[in-house]
Amino acid sequence: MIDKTRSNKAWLFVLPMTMLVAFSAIVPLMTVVNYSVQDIFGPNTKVYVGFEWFRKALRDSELHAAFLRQLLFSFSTLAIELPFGLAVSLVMPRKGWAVSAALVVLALPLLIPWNVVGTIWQIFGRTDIGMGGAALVKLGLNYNYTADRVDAWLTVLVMDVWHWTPLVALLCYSGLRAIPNAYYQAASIDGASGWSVFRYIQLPKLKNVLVIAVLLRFMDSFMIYTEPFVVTGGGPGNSTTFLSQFLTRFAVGQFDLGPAAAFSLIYFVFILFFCYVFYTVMNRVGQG
Amino acid sequence: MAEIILQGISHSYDEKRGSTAPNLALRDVELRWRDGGAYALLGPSGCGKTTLLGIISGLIQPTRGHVLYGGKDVTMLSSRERNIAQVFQFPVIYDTMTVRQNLAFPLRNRGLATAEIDRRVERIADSLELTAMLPLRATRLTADQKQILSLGRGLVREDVAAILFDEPLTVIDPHRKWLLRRKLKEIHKQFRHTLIYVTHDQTEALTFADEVVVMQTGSVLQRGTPEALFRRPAHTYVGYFIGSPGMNVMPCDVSQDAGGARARVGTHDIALAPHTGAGPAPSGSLELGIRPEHVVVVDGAGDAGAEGSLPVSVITVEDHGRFRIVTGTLAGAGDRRLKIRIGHHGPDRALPIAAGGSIRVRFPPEHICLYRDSKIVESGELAAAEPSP
Amino acid sequence: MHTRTAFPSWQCLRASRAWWLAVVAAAAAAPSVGCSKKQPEGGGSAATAAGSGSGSGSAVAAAPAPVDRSAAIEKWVAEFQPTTLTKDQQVAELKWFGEAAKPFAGMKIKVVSETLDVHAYESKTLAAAFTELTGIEVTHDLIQEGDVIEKLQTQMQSGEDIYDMYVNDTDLIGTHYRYGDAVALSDFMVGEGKDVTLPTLDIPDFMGTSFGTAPDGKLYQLPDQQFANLYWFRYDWFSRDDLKKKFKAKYGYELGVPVNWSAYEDIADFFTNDVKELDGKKVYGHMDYGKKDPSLGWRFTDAWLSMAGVGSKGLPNGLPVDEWGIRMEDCHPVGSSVSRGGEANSPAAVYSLVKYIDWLKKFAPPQAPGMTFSEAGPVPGQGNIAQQIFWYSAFTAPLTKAGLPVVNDDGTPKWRMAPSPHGPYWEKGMKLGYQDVGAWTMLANVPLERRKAAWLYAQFTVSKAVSLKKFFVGLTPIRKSDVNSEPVTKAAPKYGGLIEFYRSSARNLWTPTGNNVPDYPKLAQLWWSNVSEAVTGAMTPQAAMDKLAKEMDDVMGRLERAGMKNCAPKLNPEKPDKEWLGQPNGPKAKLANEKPKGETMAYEQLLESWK
Repeated sequence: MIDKTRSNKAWLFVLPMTMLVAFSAIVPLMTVVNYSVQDIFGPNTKVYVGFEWFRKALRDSELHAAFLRQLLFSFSTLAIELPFGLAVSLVMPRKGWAVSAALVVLALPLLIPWNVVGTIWQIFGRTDIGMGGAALVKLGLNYNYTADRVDAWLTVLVMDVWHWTPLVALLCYSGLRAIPNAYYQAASIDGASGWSVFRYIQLPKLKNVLVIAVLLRFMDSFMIYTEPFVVTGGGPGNSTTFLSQFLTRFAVGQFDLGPAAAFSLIYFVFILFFCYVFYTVMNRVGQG
Repeated sequence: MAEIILQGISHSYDEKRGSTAPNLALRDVELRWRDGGAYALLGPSGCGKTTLLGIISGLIQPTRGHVLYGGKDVTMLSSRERNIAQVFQFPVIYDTMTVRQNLAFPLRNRGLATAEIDRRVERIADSLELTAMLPLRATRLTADQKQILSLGRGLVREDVAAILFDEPLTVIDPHRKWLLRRKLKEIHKQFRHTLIYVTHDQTEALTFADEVVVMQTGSVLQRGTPEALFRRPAHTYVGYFIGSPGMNVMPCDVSQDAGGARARVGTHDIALAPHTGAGPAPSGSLELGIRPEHVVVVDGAGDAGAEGSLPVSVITVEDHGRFRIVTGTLAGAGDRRLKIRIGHHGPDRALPIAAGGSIRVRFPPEHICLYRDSKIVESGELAAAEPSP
Repeated sequence: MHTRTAFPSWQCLRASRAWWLAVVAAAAAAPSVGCSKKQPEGGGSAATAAGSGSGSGSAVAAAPAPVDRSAAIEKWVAEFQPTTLTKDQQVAELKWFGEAAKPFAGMKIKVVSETLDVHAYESKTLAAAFTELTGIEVTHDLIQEGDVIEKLQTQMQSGEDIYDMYVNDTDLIGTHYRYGDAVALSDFMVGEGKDVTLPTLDIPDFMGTSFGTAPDGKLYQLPDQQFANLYWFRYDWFSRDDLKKKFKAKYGYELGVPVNWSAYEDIADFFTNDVKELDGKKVYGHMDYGKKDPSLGWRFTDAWLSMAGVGSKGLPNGLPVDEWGIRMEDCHPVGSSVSRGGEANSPAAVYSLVKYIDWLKKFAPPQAPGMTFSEAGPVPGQGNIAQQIFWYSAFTAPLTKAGLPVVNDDGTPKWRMAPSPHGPYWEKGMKLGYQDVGAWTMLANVPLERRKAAWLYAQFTVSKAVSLKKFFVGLTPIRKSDVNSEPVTKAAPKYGGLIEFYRSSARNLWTPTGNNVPDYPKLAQLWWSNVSEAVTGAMTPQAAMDKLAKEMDDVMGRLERAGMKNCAPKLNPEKPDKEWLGQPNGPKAKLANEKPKGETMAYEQLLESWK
């Protein structure tokens, strides 16, 4: 029996990366934690406050409202984008030059920088110079996304659907392409209808892909910031102020470092939680 | 169930139907399969057997030629319309359904009454020994059970024209393959569907089929019962492909005189089977073929004297348990290897053959096959010999 | 070219402040550090003339020859015309800069301001001129207003020297004073910075030094540009007889510049709902903006409340209560809620919010509620707005561009600006409107040498040598001598009343945010989110202002708890509102009639009253 010798030299190789991570992640994180328990106005003007910010943040009704709004938004987008993206992927061409063309067209919205997406829709929705807004007004609808909260929500939802459905569609498409032709042949031989094919072959085989799509979209929509901010600024009122904007206002606008640090730690915990869920579900799905 | 006829089937993946294409996957295949038989399509990868199966099943429309089911031209019909069933290389089942639902699915799609569906499902499940698993989810079955289930989906449709198998044992564990083969034979005996089985494995083909079609590069080389293929391969490739190890093939010259025909391999003359008729000596490149099983070892001692025997220097002796494979070179015939298969039973058992030694062998004329340009020379074709050089 | 000890060029990268501090500590002569480029001199330490600060003249090995800049001076004198100085005076000033800068030659300094035309001119032309004339390289960054504040806060929080000087609105005077992070320029000019202060700077000539003066009487911020928030109207439409007749018939008084909010409202109603169309185009009697955006905050803190009448008497800002509603006693802020004696959620403040929302919804173009400040700015220039109550004179230049529908063929504008109307709560002796004064601010955490070099540049941009030329570029006057000068008199007709306003006594009523506000960035941010809730109707105006006042008091309470260097807030205990309302020097009680009869004045009459 040969004993494996222990070599600690390997730790040296890890050292550079450790320092990099320390600089870019750990030290800033510790600074945030430090700020979160203080009320800081300047290097000479600060006072220790303990958990006051955490208590305040967790009790803040505006935070609760923003959180619920965020959940509503995430679920709405999921409810629309998943079926829609799936439907798109089913009708996409499978061979020939049309495949490349379809893929390029689908990918276009995904390539646009996010604040440009917001700007596009902000202008598009304006009733004076925007095609969409002007058309709606001409049709007789009283559309005004800056004043009416329903219109604002709809605009933000439509924008998100436009922006992200292609991702779902592309994921589902790749999943569909992975289904061996034999299944379709067998279904044809069995006399299955198009709906049966979808229900018994395509949908079950897409399960993994759909799980990924759900989780990706949920995470992204939960952190959405630039697009709604550019379109509505969080308005009218607070109706489209989602969670990340709530934080940004604290941190960047008011430079209120104490509450902002506390809230960003809370936000961090949220994200950790969702990552954990993600990880667990994916593992389970992988085994299944 | 029907008779299946293939007329002049040629196919190229590059061209559409109706054109004359250069790159043919299948060349002018003519086949007729009678109703109720079990057939195998055997050949190496790329020989066109999967393409042919696709043409039979309706997945592919052949570039040229026609497919007839029971006299009806079905060339342009889809799989569904041809009423065939197919078992694929990997189990194709509906994951979300139970075994019962899987079996019932084709019948539900055809709108049969529930009572009738249940009856048929239970009958087939009984034949396939799946009855205990009917309520289980299909994904819980083992791979071979899933293939049986796929087969079952074909069997529930009593009017199915043919059941096609595309290398169905590929994903099955080797020690369970025989279970499936046995089941297939039982089913065939019970239901007598036309079964067409594509494989590259000669054991599967030879044990399963009544008749085997051997293919190579798009053409049919030979068609016949396993025994016929074994005894008289119509093509050197068939001889090589079938049998373990394959047939020994060596170039020769044939000469003929009043005493009979003989083949000259190297410095040796080998008597050929008597034939009738006389005529010019067969021209073209000639080859002599004999299966390792048919080579007779005359005497282990190696001393000359056995008349008409050939000297062989032994290179290796492989012991395969029930038999031995002796590899040697025929003296005076260059480096050509000769393989001999001898059993451990009977007279061969005691023969002391060792590597480095020499033995004498005989080629019984009734087991010799003569090939011209790789194709077998039938008796009656041999003509008068030319004077040997 | 230049003789210098051999410093390899990579030293350029090192000529950052860290390196620089080390050198200063070693008391080496200033000119030896860093690489210099164009100037064939480097600043001979031998020349001392106007003084080169900290004991220069020793360590440099080579003593570069004194530079002859007369060619550059000639060139720039030609550029900086017109001017109120004689040619000799101007040349002398420019020369003085070159001399005073000798100890700092080759230094690279960075300053920052927001992006206005006048600053663009500074950044592009004045900085280049300064570099040529002095050898100090200036990088004048132009970024958005909000980002300037952010950089400033970062520098204050971290102590890092991000910029050597800032052009920062004097709204932050209360902030700078209380945090103690800004250098008192009045002290600096006679103390450490004596040898780098322009003798002909002439502080009394500046308009607006009182805005940059803290409760301790010292000047902390020196004005660089200013513009006011005024009333804007279509003079040509107001002069039309048919419209005048129609108006008089309906309302019973003359159509003219509104003096009070009632008149403004009547005129707005008149144009939007009665006139409706002029020359085939739909017209509106009001323009504004209301999108939920930080710009909605300044819409209010830029004196909207005092225009309605919130606050005590007193100039430049009300004492004890200012236009934010913040009450200050001695120099300590004591609260903004009525319950503490403030006025942020008083009836007058609520009135101002109600009217803003009303007019925005009833009289402005339908897209206005969705616009930000920058989107709404160009709209009057499109020719369908009759009047605008909240309009920055910084838009004078864009609205006098040839070819616009609001500009005549001869280049004169069809519109005029006038003092804003005041609300029913306003009393004489109060400030009225808002003046945006961008002023040079020096933070104490910048090393002395760099501050001095930056101070030279700052003075250059406001010196009489360049200020009149700068005015013509940006239309933001800072010197009385410029405003009263001959070239300006000649050009006045082109500016729609801007010059007349600055020459009048009325301008004293237009002031920036003052000393009452202890932390401008933090408190300003609270306004836009609360106001926007009222705009959409999610909260009533009273509830929105109540929430705002409470949030402001919370922040001030935190400042009190954390402690500030000077005059930290000391919150009053809360008392029932009615104990404060109507008290002398307290929040004003609700008026029974918030809409008295409209009063207007003919524009010509207004001009006369200023003469």
